[in-house]
Amino acid sequence: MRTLFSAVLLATLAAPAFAQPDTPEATVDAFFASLSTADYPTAVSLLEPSFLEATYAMFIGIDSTLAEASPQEGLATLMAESSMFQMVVGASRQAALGHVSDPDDPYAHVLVRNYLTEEGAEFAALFQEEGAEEELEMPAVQVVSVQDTSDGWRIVNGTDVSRMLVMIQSDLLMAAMSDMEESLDMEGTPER
Amino acid sequence: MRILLPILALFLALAPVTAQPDTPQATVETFFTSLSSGEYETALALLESSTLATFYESAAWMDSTLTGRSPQDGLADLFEYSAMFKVALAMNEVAVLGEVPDPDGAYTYVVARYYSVQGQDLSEMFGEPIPEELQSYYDSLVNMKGLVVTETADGWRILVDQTLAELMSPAVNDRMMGYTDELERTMRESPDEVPAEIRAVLEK
Repeated sequence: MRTLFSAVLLATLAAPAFAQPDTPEATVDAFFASLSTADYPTAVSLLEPSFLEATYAMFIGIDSTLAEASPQEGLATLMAESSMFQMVVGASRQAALGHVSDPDDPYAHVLVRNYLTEEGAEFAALFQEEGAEEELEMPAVQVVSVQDTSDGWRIVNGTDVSRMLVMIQSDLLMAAMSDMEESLDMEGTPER
Repeated sequence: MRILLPILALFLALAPVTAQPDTPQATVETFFTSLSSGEYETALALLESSTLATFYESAAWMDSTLTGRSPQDGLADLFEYSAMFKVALAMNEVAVLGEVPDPDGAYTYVVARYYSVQGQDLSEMFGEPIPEELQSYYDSLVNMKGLVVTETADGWRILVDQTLAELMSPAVNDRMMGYTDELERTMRESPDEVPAEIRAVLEK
């Protein structure tokens, strides 16, 4: 009994704080689910560190003050603050259908089907020509690449992942342009 | 022997003129092989007819000289004429890796290593120096695509989605902008100005 109790105690202590997704598909599903519930720290933790750092370095290129935060904290904050990012996240939901391996690289490539949400369908309809509704019925798919790291499966690349992150970049660029215009206005205002 | 001969004759008469790829993966492989060997009509015949027609109509809308042709004929001519399409095709590295079925049952998705980002200069793209490690990291990435395949009465056919539209759009842009005419003129008058990779494709 004492042995069993010790074994249970050890297993409980050794368990991770939250369950790590243990397959490529589960990792990708967990990433998109975390985004849709605004659990940005969990979503960011599922990105492979070099991919995360490379992405964050581009944001620092636009706004150098971002260098004060770590890529993990900084990106989670940017996700929470970027309205364009949240709009794109809210436009569709994703389901990982399966994966294939590549003999030439260390990644597993997860096939993800995107389904437009009601909000996304309304937005897409604005850009549809009359009579072209069937185009909305076309299955939209993407491939998200994941890598088996010492911490588990992590996302290294993906069309939709990048497209979502580019929205943050657009928000940062617009903010930078707005700041620039404001400072030009202030410089251009003659002193009374 | 007298029985065997009629069976053989019947078999030969029923055999299709060209072997049809019989799996989603084989269909996509045949599509890319046909494109790279210049057999554009064979490649276009592997696209699902209604979405091929939609793509053709949008191309004809931008280039009225295509109007009135059949989709296969018109688009094959467009590809044949376009140096930019051939260059884009030659610079794409395509390897079909496998297929994933859709639980909804209507489609199968074929995953392909489709387009290499190698050679894209990040410093040039962002207008400022980018660390070498970051450039090497991006060089190591590959761009993967999922192609949508559906089973029709004629066999497996590929739907023209955004992935394929991206591949075919250089041909339409070329016709609209006259890139090929300009390139041929440069090749004639000052070939050294044409990048070596593009010259190699055009001189084939």
